[in-house]
Amino acid sequence: MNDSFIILVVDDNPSMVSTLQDILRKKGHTVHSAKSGAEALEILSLHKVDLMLTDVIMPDMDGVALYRQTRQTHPHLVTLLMTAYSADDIIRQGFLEGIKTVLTKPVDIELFLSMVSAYQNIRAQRSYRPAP
Amino acid sequence: MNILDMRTVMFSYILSSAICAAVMAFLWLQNRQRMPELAFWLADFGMQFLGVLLITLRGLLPDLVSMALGSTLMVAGSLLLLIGLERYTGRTGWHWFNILYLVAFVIIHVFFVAVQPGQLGRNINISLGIFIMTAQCAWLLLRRVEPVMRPETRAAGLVFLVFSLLSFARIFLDLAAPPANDFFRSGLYDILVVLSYQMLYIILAFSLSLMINHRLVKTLESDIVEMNRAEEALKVSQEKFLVAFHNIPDIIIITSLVDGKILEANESFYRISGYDKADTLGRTTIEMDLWANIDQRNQLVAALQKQGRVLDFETEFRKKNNQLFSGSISSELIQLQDQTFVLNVIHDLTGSKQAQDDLHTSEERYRLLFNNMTEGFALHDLLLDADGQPCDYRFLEVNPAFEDLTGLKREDILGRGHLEVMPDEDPFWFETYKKVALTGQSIRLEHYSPPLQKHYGVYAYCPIPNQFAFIFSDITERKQAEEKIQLLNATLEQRVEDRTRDLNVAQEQLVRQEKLAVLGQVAGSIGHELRNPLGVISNAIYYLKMVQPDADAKVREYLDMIEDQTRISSKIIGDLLDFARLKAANKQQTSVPDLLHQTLARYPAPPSVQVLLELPTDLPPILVDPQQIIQILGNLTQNACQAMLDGGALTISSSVNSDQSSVSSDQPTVITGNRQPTTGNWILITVSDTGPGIPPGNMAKLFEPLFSTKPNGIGLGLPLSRKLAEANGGRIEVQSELGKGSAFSLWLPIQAK
Repeated sequence: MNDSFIILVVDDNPSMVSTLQDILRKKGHTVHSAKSGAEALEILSLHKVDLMLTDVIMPDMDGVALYRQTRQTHPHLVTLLMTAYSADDIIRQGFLEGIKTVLTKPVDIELFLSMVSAYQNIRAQRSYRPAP
Repeated sequence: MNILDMRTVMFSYILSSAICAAVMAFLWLQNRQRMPELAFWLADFGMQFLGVLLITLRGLLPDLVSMALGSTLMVAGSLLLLIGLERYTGRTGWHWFNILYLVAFVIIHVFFVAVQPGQLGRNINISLGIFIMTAQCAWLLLRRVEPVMRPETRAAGLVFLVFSLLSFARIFLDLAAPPANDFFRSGLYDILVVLSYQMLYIILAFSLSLMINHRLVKTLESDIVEMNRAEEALKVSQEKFLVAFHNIPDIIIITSLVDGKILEANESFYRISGYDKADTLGRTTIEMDLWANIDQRNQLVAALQKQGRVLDFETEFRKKNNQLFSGSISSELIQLQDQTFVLNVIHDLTGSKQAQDDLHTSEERYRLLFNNMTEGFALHDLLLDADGQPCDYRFLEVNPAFEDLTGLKREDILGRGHLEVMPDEDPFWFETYKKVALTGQSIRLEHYSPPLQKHYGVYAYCPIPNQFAFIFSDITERKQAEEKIQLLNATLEQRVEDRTRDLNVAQEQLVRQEKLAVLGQVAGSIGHELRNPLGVISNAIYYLKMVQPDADAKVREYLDMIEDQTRISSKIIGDLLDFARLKAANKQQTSVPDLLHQTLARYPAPPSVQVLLELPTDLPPILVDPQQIIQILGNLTQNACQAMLDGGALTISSSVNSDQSSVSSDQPTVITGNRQPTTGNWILITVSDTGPGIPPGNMAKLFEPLFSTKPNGIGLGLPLSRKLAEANGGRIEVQSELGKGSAFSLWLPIQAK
């Protein structure tokens, strides 16, 4: 069973990034972190990433725009939004473009971990299936 | 031997006395009408003549006839003359002594003729007789008559005086030289005496006729003066009549009865008819065509001939210019210079008819005004008590408006006293009107009448003393309006104060809401910003608890405390954000039991609280935003649980309710949200607790933002719940009883749109 799941955490708040990174690593996941959309896209181009947890409101680009840019290059990337604001328009646009989950800060860690393990199971089932 | 013979003298005496008697007879004939007393004079002169004649015929006649009768006739004649003169002068008196004397004279004379004839006795007797009579005459004419008459009588008086003196003298002469027994052979002095008598007699006749002449001239003069005066008076009177005749306003025409020609007409006729004298005099009224209706003229003439006069016969007359005028004619037959005329007086009725018509028209006009004026009118007189003091007043006349304005009927009150009609009237009225009627000063006033329950505006005046009239109108409405205005003015200040206070409260509220809105916005942004640090803290706690599972108890307790407080902070921020920016309800068909179960799952009650669910099986689905309703119900259940920290029962019930409210009115109640629906069915969800209840003072503030009794609440839960209920077409009601608990009822419409 491959417990390691590669997660990218994107937030312009360094403390948010570092605390989440520490928790997820402690839980045994591989964690990358980025402090801007651009940095996130650079990491994505260098590393394999299974799941991206990104803040919505960031200085260079919002979370939905980031998600949109990964659609061509990483069609299988699972993206979760987390927000401190009620940025309804952006989030509604995200839902329309395929975003499934929005988490409100403070992030419910337990809920998030349960989601991660759910996606982990889905990927495991997918990779377990013999290639055609 | 004698130059003068007594017989010749006597003969001439006869002739002269006859002439004198004749003169007196003529005087008597001429003036007997004016002076009937001349008859006495004439009688005397006649008797003197007879006396002289008888004496002269001595010898031819018996002595007794000749001497006694002759002398007696002379003395008695003198007495008659005296009486006549007395009457002439207006100094009559009694003559019994003269008559007695006359009798004595006759006896003496008869004695000296028949018994002892003696010329001396006879002479003395007759001289004495003549003296007595003539002396009385002289005394009458000279002294007794009125002084004004004396110039007239003096001459005759003097003649009588000489007569009397002569007779008196003859007595002494005869005594000195006694005459012979034969009268005809008397001595010379006797003849001279007789001759003197004769002369005096003639002079007497003259003087008497002169006296009469004097009187006649005087009478004539006074007659002329009298006549002139009468003539003057007649003239004045005639002028007066003429002026009256011409200036009297009525027409006067005098016509001849025989031929109907106009004899005279006055100026009024010419003025009114337009004719002049030349047109009129000598013509008949028919020729002049004066009668508008000739039949009426004939009627008048017939009546006139029958009765002699006709009064106030009204007919019409034609003027010269053919204009007609009506007149009242009175005609009467009159006699003038033995001829019969008709006196016609025509009273022109034109003026009076016009005046009458004017009066009638004017009266009608005023009657109309009186009856139709909208102001009431009434005339009264004062009634006096036994002491003559005014004690009441009496209705004399009222108009229809009076009846309308007072409700009193004219026939019920005319002639009756005011106190009798309205015993409980305000004495003010009587006092006021009394003053008007007594002083004559008019007055204008407004006052209330308690028995009529009306305010009246009155103008009262005094047409004649002790009476008064007033004109008035009903000003009750205006008075009431004025009173209302006064009342309003009085309360206005209070109301302004109240309103100002309300406004102040409202403004405070507004300011508060304004502040709240700003605060909400600020809090919203701060809340957002706080979520990031809270997220970091939350993450850090999670990490610490994860990496330090074996930390000592105190550390773990503190970590839990931080975690709790972080969650509460997050919740507060959530409420704040929800309240500041409410999302629109996303309504969908929702099952009520599902809502309740989800609520209880998300907001579980602590173990100390017993949860009771009372759900009928046939609840219909409702169209609401389930998340918002769950938020409301969660809020209510959390509040309930927090009210029962020492344990209790939480009852959640639901029912279909068509009534608008299930609240019983004897408990303090707050209803908030939509109240207007009265039709359609409602789902009622009630969350009840067995907590301490809400103090009444707090009930009204329950739904105010930022009102909280909880140590860590900020007072946004119930306001938010209310907003959410309203967003879903519902409302929230609260009932609470201290010591027993509270019940929050959420009403939601089944047929919400």
